[in-house]
Parts: sequence; structure tokens; C-alpha cells
Amino acid sequence: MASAAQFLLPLAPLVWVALGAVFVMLLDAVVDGQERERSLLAPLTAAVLCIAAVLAVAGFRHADVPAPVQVQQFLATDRLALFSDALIFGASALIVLLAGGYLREHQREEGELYVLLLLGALGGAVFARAADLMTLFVGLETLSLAVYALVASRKTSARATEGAVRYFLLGAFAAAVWLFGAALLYGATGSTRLVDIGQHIRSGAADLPLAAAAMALLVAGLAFKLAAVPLHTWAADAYQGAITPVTLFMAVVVKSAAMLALLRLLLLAFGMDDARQGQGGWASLLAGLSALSMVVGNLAALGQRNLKRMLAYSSIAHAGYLLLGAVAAAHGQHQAVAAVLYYLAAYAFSSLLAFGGLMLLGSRGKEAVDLDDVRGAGRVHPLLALPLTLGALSLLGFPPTAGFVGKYLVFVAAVQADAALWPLLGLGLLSSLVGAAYYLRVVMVLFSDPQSSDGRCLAQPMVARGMYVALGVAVYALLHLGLLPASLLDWSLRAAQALG
Amino acid sequence: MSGAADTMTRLRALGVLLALAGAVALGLVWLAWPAWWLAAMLLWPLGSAVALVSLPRQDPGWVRACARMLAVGGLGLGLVPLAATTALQAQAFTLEVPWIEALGARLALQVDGISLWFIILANLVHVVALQVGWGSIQHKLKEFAAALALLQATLTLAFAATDLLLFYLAWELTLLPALLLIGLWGGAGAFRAAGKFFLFTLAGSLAMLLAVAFIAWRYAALAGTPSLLLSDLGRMVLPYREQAWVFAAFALAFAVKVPLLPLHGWLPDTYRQAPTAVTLVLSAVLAKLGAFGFLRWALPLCPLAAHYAMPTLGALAVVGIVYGAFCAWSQRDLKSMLAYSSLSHLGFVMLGIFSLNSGAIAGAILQVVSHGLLSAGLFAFVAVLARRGHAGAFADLSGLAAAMPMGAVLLTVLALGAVGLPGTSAFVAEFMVLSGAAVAGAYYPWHLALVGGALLGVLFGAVYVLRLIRHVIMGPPEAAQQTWPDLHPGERVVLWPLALLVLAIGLYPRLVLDSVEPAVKRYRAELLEARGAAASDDAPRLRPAIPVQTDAGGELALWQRGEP
Repeated sequence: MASAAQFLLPLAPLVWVALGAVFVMLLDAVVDGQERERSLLAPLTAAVLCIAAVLAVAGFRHADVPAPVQVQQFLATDRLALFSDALIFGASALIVLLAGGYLREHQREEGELYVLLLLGALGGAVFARAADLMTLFVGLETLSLAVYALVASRKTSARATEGAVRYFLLGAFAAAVWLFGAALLYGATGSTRLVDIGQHIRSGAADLPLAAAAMALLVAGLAFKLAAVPLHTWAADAYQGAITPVTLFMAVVVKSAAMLALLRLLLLAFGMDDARQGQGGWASLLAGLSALSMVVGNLAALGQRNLKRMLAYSSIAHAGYLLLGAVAAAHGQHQAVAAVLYYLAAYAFSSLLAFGGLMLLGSRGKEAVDLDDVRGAGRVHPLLALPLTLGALSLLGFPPTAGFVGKYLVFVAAVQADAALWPLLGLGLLSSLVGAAYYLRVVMVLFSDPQSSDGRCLAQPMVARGMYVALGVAVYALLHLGLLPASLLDWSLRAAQALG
Repeated sequence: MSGAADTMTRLRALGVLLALAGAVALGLVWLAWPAWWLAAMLLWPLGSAVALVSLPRQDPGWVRACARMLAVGGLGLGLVPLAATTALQAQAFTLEVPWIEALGARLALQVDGISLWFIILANLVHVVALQVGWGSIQHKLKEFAAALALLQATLTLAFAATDLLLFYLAWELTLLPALLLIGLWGGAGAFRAAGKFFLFTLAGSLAMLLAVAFIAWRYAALAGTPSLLLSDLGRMVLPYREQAWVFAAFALAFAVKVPLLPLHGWLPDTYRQAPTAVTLVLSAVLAKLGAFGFLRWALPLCPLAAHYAMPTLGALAVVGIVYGAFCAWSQRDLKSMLAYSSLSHLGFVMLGIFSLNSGAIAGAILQVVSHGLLSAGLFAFVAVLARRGHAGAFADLSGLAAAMPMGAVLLTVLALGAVGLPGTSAFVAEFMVLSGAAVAGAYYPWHLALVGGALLGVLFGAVYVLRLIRHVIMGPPEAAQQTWPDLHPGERVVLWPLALLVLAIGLYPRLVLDSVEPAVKRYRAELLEARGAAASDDAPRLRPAIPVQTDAGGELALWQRGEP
């Protein structure tokens, strides 16, 4: 009989965040209307998430202690799970800090946003760790419901409402598709546990055509969350309509969680290439999604003047690069899984800087959203334009930023995997050259002459200490991961071993 | 007022002395631990950048003086290994620190006879740029100087790196300060030009990144442990098919930077729009990074493919020589003319490299040095004219000899150097390249045709340079220019040494060749052996590390051997 501690310790980050969410919700009700106390909500929420991330990191070091079977059946407790916890909660903590400054500046301090962010992060972590189709769905829906509400939170904006409604309707449909796939898979194998499903499929006991159909439906449901082409149509509107911290949350947490869940689901349930007979061809399916996402995302981003929309398409393109890594992982490369993990961390910090830099450059009533809004900001406020510049360079994959190392690792993984991936790699290179054009344009616009007659740029930067802290941490992390990637790479490799 | 100015001058002189003393002290450190010298070469410009940014903005004169002092210090540091040329002949100096073990990447730096002159040239040009080139820079002085120092640091890293990933990192990093320097301090369309430069280079770099990933995987698969060190990768024998496309990817990246025709689309705009100090660095140093990439990486990693690419790349080089000279002829201002003339002269470097024998390669390296000196001096003249309020258009520029006799003498020397007149460094360099190409022509008649084409380019070069001398220097004096002062002491102090160096190397080329030739001979012997290994077998494998004979029958024997 396992003790309560044995049950709870492997899940400590999750339990802690759940308790924190309840606490923040109660606190929000109590301090309603008190300006001073309300301003503490953001740091408090960030602290809760930060402690969760620290718990996950601490757990990572001691992940050799096996968790009770009753836990493992539903939620993975391996290093990959703790890695994803650390990533999701750490990134969320920084997002909450950014959101604190942003909401205060734009006078939309609503405590429920923090609660929703906490619940969304919790849902994301469960989603990424799920070892069973049912827990996966619970995580997926917890995350999604929180994000639907977050997108809709800008109640007065027609664009936000349109984006939220579209996101909700399509999202509900995608969830239904996923659930249908899960039902088919249960029908084909008689189990909802990923490991059992994998055993059934490999042993040939399962109905393979049915399992292949289920696989396609499951991938479609998750690709929607990942915003991979052709299931990306919601992304640009939702990204543009939502307030910027929520856009950032979608780009970082939703995408990371979906990617991690996708890897775990496909690798555990459908296996790698060496068991191709049961694999159902998921690698080629992902390869198609990857190619489309890279090309469409980068080409569409090229034409955008609105920076949030541009970053939305850029995030679609990055989903393509991540999927390229996943395809490489299909060929039995655990280095490829590690590359994807590294890429996710790099992408999280790059997005934090890009969106955070954008938030920083816009004060009340003068929010920076268009390219012309930030024109010349780098000349007038060089230091304040640094986050956006670094974020753009890292998204472009330029050294010495984390984005470069991530891109290099994914390329190496794809080269290692299979000669059949070369065309896809070439496509990735060409599309990232297109990507360079629009990221570079951001940098160039930032540092060109301000257009207005008095030599000031349209965007007026805001002052917010929490944001400075978050952006400072992200700048440090971005450069550290770009110049000294060894430690995180080591962690990614250890985490990747959880999937074989 | 004059008292303050005097104090200032004395302080500056003191500063230069201090910088030199510091550099010499660091140099002595190097004598004890050569590896530290490498670190110092890298850290000096980085430290300079930090120091410059932290200077007070109020006193531009002080900022300029400090920037110069630091650059002079860097040059002093760069010259130290020349004192130990004999040691350099015996072996290269290396510094290795673990970096990313999972990828096999190490912080590996090395200076040998091939990279030494590139590094010295970069440091020298940095000083010239800061001494003459940046009179037109009026705003954000210290940021400009810091960006230039950063460019210097990334260039040094690129020239010294012997780890492929580290080289790639440095290669890409040079773009960032270059982009800012061109965009922020350039003309009206500077950011457009800089963006074009950036995207052109990045297109090549991405192809190279794919090749790097491939090589990394191949080596790890063959050896069992990953490594990206040149010495390890050079032991890898790849079949021709793989070499061919790896070489193509490398060549794309490097050819954009040189640039080889038809990848030169970024060059005219960028050179014209960039501030003169930056154009000077771009033409005198950054362009050489492409040639260096071929020498350091593309040839040793893909010797067989390089061998088969000889006629094509040699032909492109010659087309560049002729086309550049032809375009330079039709330009109406000095800066554009020099931009195209630069294209033409770099063609000789490429022709030398792709004649693939030690005479031609040594000639190519000498041409790198020679063209670096000449183009630094000539672009400095653009700045000299700009300081006197002239944009450099030929239409109303005439009769300089009457107004500024000393300037006219120095300009004549540099211009004749650009023609390749005997007695100047360019003559020796171009002669070595052409005779090397002719030696290659003994086996490949195609190369004889290339020599002929290159000679045609030299002829065109003579035409436009002689027009410059006849009209601009010796022509009828323009009234507006008669009041111009002759060269200021600050201008003399760099232009005289440049002109004298051009003559000195021209008369006594051993000054450079002594440290270059042994390294080139060894390099060439290794290249031959690697090519032979690749030609004999068609499966990827690792060669055992054999110590290559340093002197395979002397220079003459290698020349005579030409091609196998």
C-alpha cells in the first residue's frame, strides 16, 4: 500500500499549481477593488508558477524513484514529464509577470485572468504528461477552456470576440474529432493506456486499419492545437484579437503542450519506424503537415504589417519546424526528441522576448501592433527595443541565440534520420530564408528613422518592473542557451530517453 | 584653447603608447603561452567594445582617440607572432576548450601561416578605418566604434576557429555588426542595401548549415563519437557524390561573400550606401572571409570536389576579374569605381585558390594582403575627399597634384599598385597567381585560357586606373579645389605606411611569403593526399591520422608536380 506522499511527490508541481489556482481565485474575490493589493496578484501568481517549475527541476534530478503504478497509469512521471512541467510552468511564470505589467498599464486588471492562466498552465502540463487517452483529453479540455475564456476576455473588442468564437467553434470540433479517434483506437486495441495500446499494436493483436484511421484523427485533433497547416485557420484571428499576453500564452504554452502530447502519444502508442507495420504511417502524415506549415506560415507572414498577425503566422511556421523534428523522431532517433525539446525551450524564450518586447514598446492608448508603430523605436530607446530585436533574431535562428541552436539540432536530427527527409529539409531551409526576410524587416524597421516629424516614434514604451525582470531573465536565457547549450542539451537528451 | 588642445594631443600620444605597451605585454604573455595569445586576440576587441560603450558621450574627440588607441593595441597584439615566424613554420598554435560535448563542438582556435595574415590584415584595416574613415560619422560615435570593434572580434573568431560549428557561428555573427554599421550610419537607402547584403549572405549560410549538419552526422557515424574539429573532419574520406554537394553548399556561402559572379548583386549598393569606414572594412577584410572559407574549410573537407570544380570556379573568377574591371571603367565616382575594382581584384584571389598548387595559393594569400592594403588606402582617399567636402564624382574632380602634392603622390602609388605595376605588392601577387594558374594549365589547357582572360582584365584595369591618374591627379586644376589643404598629419600617418608597405612587399615579398609558404606547402601536400584517398575508394571512411611530410621535395618539386 503506497503512502499518500508516494502518490503526490511525482505530481508535486501539478498539485501545487492546482492549489495555487484555488488560492489566487479566493484572493481575487477578497481583494476586489483594492488597487494596492490587486497589484500583488501578478507577482504572487508568478511565484506560484515559479515554485512549480523549481519543484519540477528538483524532481528531474531524482526521477529514478519509480512512482506507484496507480499514478503511472494515468500521468507519466518520467523525466520527460518533469521537463515539460518545468518548461510550461517556467514559461507561464514569465508570461504572468509580463501580463502583470501589461494589464496594469492598459487598466484591465482582472484577477480572473491570473486564475485562468494558472488553470491553463495546469491543463497544459496534464495534457503533456498524459499516459492515458482519458487524462490526455481532460488536460486538453482544461487547457482549451481556459484559453477560450482568455481570448474572449477582451469583451469590448469585436475582433477579439470574433477570434474567440471562431477558435471555440473550431476547437470544439477538433476536440470532437480527437475524441472520435480515441474511441476508434479503444475499439481497435481495447485499451486507453498508451503503453498497452502500443503493445497491442506491435503484437499484431489490434485491428491495424482501424488503428491507422484513429491515428489520423488523433493527429488532426492535436495539429489543430499546434496550429499546423491546414488546421491553422483560427490562429491569425485569435492571435490578433486576444490581448498580447494571452497571444503569448497560446504561442508558447498551448503549442509546447500540444507538441509534447503529440510526441508521447505517437511514440508510445504507435511506435517508431522499426515497427513500421503498426506505425500507421504517422511519419509521412506529420511530414506533410510540416511541409505545409513551413511554407504557408512563412509566406503568409511575409505579407503582414500587423506584428501580432505576423508572429501568429511565424508560430505556424515554427510548428512546421517542430513537426520536422517529430518526423525525425519517427525514425528511432532519441536525439530528435531531444532536439524538439530544445527547440521548444528556445522557441518559448524567443516568443517571450518577441511578444514581451512588443508589449513593452506600447503604453496606454498607444499599444504597438503595426510595423509602423515601432518604426525608429530602436533609435530612440535602444535598450527597450533589445528584447524585440533579440526575439526576432532568435525566431530567425540567428546565432548567438537559442533559436540558432534549436534549428541546428533539428537539422542534424533530420539529417541523421533518413535520406528521404532531404527534400523536406531543403524546403525548411528555403522557407526559413523567407522567414529571415520578415524577421529582418522587424529589426530594420526598429532601427530606421522615425517617420513622425518631431523625431519620436509612435510607440511610447511603458514602465513596468515586473516586465523588466521577465524580459531580463528571457534575454539571459536566450543568450545562455545560444552560447552554452551543453547543459540544457544534456537535460533534453535525458528527458528524451523516456520515450525510448 | 591651444593649451587644452596640446594637453589633448599629449594625452592621446600617451594613450597610443600605453595601448602599444599593453599589447606588447600581452605579446610577452603569448611567448610563454601561445594559447593565451589567441584568447587575447579575441578578448581585446570585445573588451574594447565594452570600454568604448562606457565612455562619456560628451567628448567626441576623446571617443575617437580611445577607439584609435584600442585599435592600435589590437594591431600591436596581432603583429606579435611575426616575431616568432620560425616557430610558426614548425607548427600552428592552438587553443581548445570543451564547449558542447553532445555535439562534439569545442572552442578550438588556431593560428597558422594561412590565417595569420588574415588576422593581421583585419587589425591593420581596423586602425585605418578609425584613423581616416570615420570623419563623416557625427552621431552615436562610441556606438559606431564599438560596433566596429565587435565586427573585428567576430572576424578574428572566424579566421581563427578550427571547429566547424564555431566557425559557422562567427561567420554568421559578422553579419550582425555589419548590418548595424551599414544601416544605422549609412546613406538614405542604407537599410535596404544592408538588408539585401544580409539576405544574400544568409541564403548561402543556410545551405552551409545543412552541409555542416551533414558533415557532423557523417563523422559521428564513422568515428562513433561526434567531433567538429577540422583536424578530425579532415580525416574523413567522403565519396565524390557526397563531396560534390557539400562543396556546392560551402561554395554558395563563400562565393556570396567574396563575391563571385553571378552572386555579386548585393555589392554595388552596399559599398555605395555604407559609410566609407565600413566600406573599407567590407572590401579589405570581410570579402576575404569568403576566400578564407574556401581555403580553410571547403577545400580540405571536399578535396576531390574542389578539384573537379577548378575549371568552373576558376572561370567564374576570371569572369569576375574582367567584368569588375569593365564596370569600374564606366563608374562616375571614386567609391563606385573602387567597389567594382575590388570585385575584379578578388577574382585573382579566387583564381589563385582554384589553381590548386602551392605557388598559386601562396599568391592568392599575398593578393589578399596586397588588396587589403590597396583598397584600405584607396577607400581612405574617398574619406580624404569627403573631409574636403567632395563626394568623389569624377566630373568636377581634377588636378589634385597642384592642390595636394603629397596626396597626389600617395594616390598615384596606390593606384599604380591597383594596376599591378612591377614594384608594387599587387604585381608579385598577381604574377604568382597567374604563373600558378599557368602551371595548372600544363595539365588543364582550360587554365591557360583563364590566364589569358585574367590578363585581359589586367589590361582593362590599367585603362581605368590610368584615366584616374591622368584626369584626377594630372588634369587641369579645378578652381574650387585649389584651396584644399594637403594631407593632414592624421591622414599621413596611415597613408604613408600603407603606400610604403605596398612598395616594400612589392620589392621584398619574402616579408609576407616567409610565413605563408611553408604553411601553404604543407596545406597543399595534405590536400593532395586527401584527394588521392577520395579518388581511390568510393565508400565513406576515416583515414588514419598520418603526419604529412612538411617538405615534399621542396617548393620547386611541388610546382613541377603541378597536378597529379
